[in-house]
Amino acid sequence: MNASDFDKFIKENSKGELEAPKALDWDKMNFDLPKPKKRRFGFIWLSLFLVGLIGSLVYFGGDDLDNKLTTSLGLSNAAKHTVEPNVVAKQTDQQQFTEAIQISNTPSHNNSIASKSTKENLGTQLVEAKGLKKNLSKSFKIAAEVNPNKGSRTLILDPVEVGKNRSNVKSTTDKVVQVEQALYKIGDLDIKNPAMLYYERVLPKLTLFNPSDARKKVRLPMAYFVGTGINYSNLKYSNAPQTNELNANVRPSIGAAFMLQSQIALKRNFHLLIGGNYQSHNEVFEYAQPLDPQYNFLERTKTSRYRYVVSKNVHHFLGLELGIAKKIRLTSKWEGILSSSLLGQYHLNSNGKLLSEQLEIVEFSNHQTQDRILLSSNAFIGFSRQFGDNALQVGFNWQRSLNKLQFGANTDLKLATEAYGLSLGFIKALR
Amino acid sequence: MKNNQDIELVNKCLKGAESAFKALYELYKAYVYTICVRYGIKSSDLADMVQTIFMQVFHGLEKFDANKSQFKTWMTKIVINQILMERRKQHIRFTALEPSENLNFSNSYESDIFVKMDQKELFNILNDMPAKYSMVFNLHVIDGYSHGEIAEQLNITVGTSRILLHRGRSWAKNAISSFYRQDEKYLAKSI
Repeated sequence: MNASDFDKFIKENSKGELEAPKALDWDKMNFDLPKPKKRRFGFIWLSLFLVGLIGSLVYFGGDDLDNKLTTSLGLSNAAKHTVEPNVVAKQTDQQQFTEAIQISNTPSHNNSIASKSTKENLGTQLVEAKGLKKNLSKSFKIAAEVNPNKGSRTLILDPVEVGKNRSNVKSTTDKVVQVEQALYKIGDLDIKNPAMLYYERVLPKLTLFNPSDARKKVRLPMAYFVGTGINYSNLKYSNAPQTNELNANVRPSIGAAFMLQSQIALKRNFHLLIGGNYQSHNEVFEYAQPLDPQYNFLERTKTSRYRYVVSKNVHHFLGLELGIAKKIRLTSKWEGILSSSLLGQYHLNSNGKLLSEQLEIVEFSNHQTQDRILLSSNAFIGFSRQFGDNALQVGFNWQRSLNKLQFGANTDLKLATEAYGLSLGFIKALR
Repeated sequence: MKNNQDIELVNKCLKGAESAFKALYELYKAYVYTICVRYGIKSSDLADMVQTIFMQVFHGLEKFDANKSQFKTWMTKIVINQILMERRKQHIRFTALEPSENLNFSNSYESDIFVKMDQKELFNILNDMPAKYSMVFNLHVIDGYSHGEIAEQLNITVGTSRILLHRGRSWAKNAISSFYRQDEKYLAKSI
């Protein structure tokens, strides 16, 4: 009988199925059934939706939202002004004050000041100032006074004479021009406006106009962040025969992170984040490898032997980050920060040990990475404490890879990362 | 037709329906059990092995692509893969010959006895086959793996796979012949 016939005989007689024993009844098995998984796409769509939503807020509603937040927190830009306590508001007409504030907050007014960076704009400024004269004359007469005081100059806007001197429109217009010219010429203005002071005391929740803010809007503030942190990585291997054994024999560990980031203000409290970072995702590999047992025939004993290996696995990544952040002022010194970003990471290398398909312990260096680019999403919540133009920032972030690294040319072993991080850093603002 | 039923059950499983998991299990538990017996999994380990295999299947259902293969084919790969994993843990050496190994197989067989045999008896005989022959024998003769695929799975050379298969075949022929010689009545009936 040749081999082919014999194989046929074996195959035909092995075709049927044996009757499964009672021990294999469903009720006697203890299955941990998988729960329906939410598709990864949902997570991606959610991230995109959030980025889109934040983007929309920045472009269409940034100013309004910002003002509402500022108002609701009881903060005003006027609070930043230096005011002298002996200056007292004498105005009693509430309506006139309201109008004055409305004028102060009109964007055209802000823009007119903000755009006066060259002498050529002065003509335009005069025209705009004339346009303002009617409104201004309704509320207060501006008496502009330029007082040299330790190198700085002071403007005093006095609403007391309002109403008494309505006929002096031309004079008011000239004063407005003087104010504008002064704003243009003097870099470091200190506004002392009794009307504003009144509002600061009586209606502190209103946002008042601050010329220095107008200047900030011309040159968007930029800040640099330098920080370091730790991350707790939960790494998952998949797609290879040794996956289960490998995942069962590694446990999460603490890794390090260093980051450099530039924060470019799109609006006052919305920032574009562009940065680079280094991260190490660590894990501890712990495996008891079975060795050939030892037999003692005299005592009829069998000794099982294991090779116990503990190794720290380190995966090094260099990353580029692009994201968006919202800053919320909590107090005059503290800010809350929420950010969402996408991270493109380049896998530098991995050190440590893992299991081969034959469950042998092998080095990572034997497994060259095939797909080195790891795309991750990152969410951050943190706080910063300001010290002048600088700040210290501390925060917590959650990062999850959207694709997987692939190790080795002859294996399909893949690695996905998820990490929770704590970071601490220094922010240096540029004006 | 059955594949459609499988796909329907898989889809229900993916939605988390426990009844679908149970139905899938009932449909294939005998099949999985048979493969485990055929590969010589000890009866004390069978329940654990079947459970492990079905856990792998249940948790891997989302990777099943009905356009690429039938469910049964896809599941068979998981079953064999899990058995191979189990065998690897036992550190079976597929290369060197043991000094005590008896290679004096008879080359003369009565071909008329290889006609029909009870499946359970056949499995009982094959279960005594040395593990290193048994793996290659099962993979090639019954599950249709090529020597290249076997070599890759067991991390051996194609030549070693051929040698192990040849020895497995010889061992099986010898064992089946011996079985018939011991059971004269059965032999008489089959003749």
